[in-house]
Amino acid sequence: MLGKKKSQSQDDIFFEEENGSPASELKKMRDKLKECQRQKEEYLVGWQRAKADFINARKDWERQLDDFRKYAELPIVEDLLPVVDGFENAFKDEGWEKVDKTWQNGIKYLHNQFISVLKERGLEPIGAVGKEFDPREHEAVAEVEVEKEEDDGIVMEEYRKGYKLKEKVVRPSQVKVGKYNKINQ
Amino acid sequence: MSKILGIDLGTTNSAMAVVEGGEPKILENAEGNRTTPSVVAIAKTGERLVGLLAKRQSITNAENTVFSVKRLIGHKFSDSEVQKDKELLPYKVEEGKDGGVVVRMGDKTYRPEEVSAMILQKMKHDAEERLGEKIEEAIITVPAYFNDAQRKATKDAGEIAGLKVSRIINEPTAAALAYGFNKKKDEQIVVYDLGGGTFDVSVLEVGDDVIEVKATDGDTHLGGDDIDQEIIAWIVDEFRKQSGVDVSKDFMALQRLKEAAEKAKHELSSTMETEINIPFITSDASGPRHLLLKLTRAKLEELVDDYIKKSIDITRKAVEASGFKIGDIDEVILVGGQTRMPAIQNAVKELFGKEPNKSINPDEVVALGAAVQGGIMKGDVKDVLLLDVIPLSLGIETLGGVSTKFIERNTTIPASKSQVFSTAADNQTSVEIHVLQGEREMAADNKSLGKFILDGIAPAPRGLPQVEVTFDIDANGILSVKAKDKATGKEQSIRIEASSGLSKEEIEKMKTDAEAHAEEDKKKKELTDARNAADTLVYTSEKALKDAGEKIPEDVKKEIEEKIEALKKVKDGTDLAAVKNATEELSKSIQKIGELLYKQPASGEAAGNAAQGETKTDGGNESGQSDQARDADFEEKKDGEEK
Repeated sequence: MLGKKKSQSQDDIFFEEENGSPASELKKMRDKLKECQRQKEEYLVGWQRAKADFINARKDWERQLDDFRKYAELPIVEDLLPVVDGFENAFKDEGWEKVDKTWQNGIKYLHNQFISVLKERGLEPIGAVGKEFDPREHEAVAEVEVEKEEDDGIVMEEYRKGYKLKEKVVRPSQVKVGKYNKINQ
Repeated sequence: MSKILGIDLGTTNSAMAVVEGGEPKILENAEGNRTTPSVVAIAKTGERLVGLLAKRQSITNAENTVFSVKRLIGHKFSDSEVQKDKELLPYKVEEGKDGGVVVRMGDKTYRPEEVSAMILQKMKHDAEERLGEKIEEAIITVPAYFNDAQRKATKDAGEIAGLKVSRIINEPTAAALAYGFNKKKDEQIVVYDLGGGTFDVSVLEVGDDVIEVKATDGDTHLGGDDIDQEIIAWIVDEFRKQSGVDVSKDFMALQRLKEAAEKAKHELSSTMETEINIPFITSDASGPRHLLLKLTRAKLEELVDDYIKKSIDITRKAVEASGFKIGDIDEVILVGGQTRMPAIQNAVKELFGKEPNKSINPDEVVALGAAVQGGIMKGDVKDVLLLDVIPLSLGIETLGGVSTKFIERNTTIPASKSQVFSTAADNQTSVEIHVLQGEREMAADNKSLGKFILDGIAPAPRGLPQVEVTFDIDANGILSVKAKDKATGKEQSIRIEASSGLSKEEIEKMKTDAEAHAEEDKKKKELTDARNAADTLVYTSEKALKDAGEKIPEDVKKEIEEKIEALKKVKDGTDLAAVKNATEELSKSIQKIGELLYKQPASGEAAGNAAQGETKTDGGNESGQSDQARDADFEEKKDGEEK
């Protein structure tokens, strides 16, 4: 197919040479050259673009793959957090202290074992209490009245622990934020 | 030449997409999420927060956190919708100087378009970060029922955010574009959009290059949130029945219930039953209380039946208003996360008597469609370089008449690929390259495009020569196949013009044939593979016997020889199990040679050598079993043909 095209365009030139005056012939050739140069430029730019697109797409893909590798465990870790919550709610319960000490220890060891597995995967709790409320790490679930003005906007209580996995917030801490009411004081 | 950003500016969530390499693709925001909550806040520190961060602080800063501003945009303060919504929204909605609406955040008031602009600005910024290039233009979607004032205000929001809004398009139109329905002339399309908080249904007609909205209807306060509330109410009720404890006033317990309800709802889209398990949900005098309930899909459907019926009634009304009959509707598209619920899909299917389109993520389809519109507007550039794909796989025939695919179908061309093959028999000096087209497993069932012979290969044991075969197909579909003997550098090639290809009908036929014969072909190929493996094992076993020679006790030798004979007997038959069994038997026995040789004390030079030789053959044996792909050599040549 390519070969055919070539011979046809050669035929065209041959035909023109025979019939036109030298001046108009020259003009035609120049126009043709211009057109070819324009096309060459267009193709070159297109080619460069395609190549750049490809390289960028590959970089993007590699970055995504890196992210994927780094955070591949995130969904499973996220699904396990409610189990951790369950342990913590049990420890917080008033009845916990009444439980037999050996059993208490046993459950605590279980909890530690579980937490250390998650820690090895890069899971870290987000400390919250006493810090200034920051929506990047905290999610406000309630406000509590505070007596001191400097406690305004400070996390007073962590209702549910938040966690980070290698810098990424898996789940923000659910917190109660201090609210200082001037009128009441 | 910057990209046009397609933006679905939603009531509760927004999403954005661009066309890359001809395909629309969702862009993640800075937080790494595919959707961004349509929430804006001015924090107490004066910092402006948009999206997830604004949402997280809304409780402590309710009066300075604005959401659902889409409900207000382009409205007059006196409009009844505004008066109604004003009561439901926790932030202050006031009348502006021109009779329009303003919302208060901090000590300033903002027009709704200014608030929307903050969302758009974040999206623009995040998109630029992702793409590493400036975004100047955008396509923004609006509900089909938006009037001129609302559209104008949305456009203004875009301009405030620093975007040139090339077009405002309807959300249902965008959904239709994402599915490529703009190409189907004279079709009637229904778009059923059930999101978090709103329900919209639109009837579209595709004409010459335009998609016209024929009718719209909906309910501005019906959505997935209502369904969540129903589930929560059910859980509270069941828990009270079980334990006598009422958690409906316990804020913290409700918070956990809400998450559990959402999770249960999602799970019930793929399972028939789910467990809602919240240990230590609350505690009273008698000790801690645990919540453990089973929720079935049937129960969930019963709970939300009224909402589904309501949405179906509205849909029916919309179709009536469009002047079409239910039977006139050619396509139905599902939009909005809530349409993942099987009961909703079934209700829609039942109404229209056809399967609704749901293959594109319903949360993303509108943004993707907006990006497609952007792509159409930039389309002139792409047309120059339209790249084709090959409709059928290309490959060569290998040992046992198997068709080994080289370039899979749907590969974008130009493309090239090479692979190294070897010979199937000792001292084979030529190979035949038989080029095939088609999806079937066996060469005889595919179309032959041509064949050639590469000869002059130096005589060597089977598997040793390396013949590199290269397929190269150019943008016009012209295929060149080249075979090169790596040892001698000798090569042969063939050129196959596109004209030798097939008509559309033939291609379709070949594809359907391949599907129809998939099972039978698979069996045939399995048998061939097993035969090839058997063949290789017989070869290596015989070689091992010869090499190890007298170091093998007679009884072992005899056993192996018997098993070789047994395998030879069955290997050309059609009983797959028999071939596999005999192969396995022989493989077990042949391992004994290795064991024996290793056990023999290294009594001098000869034993050492033999052991080495043995390891080699053992390796060959292994590769014969597991490395079939590489060993699936060329078609075995008959002696006569080779010369």
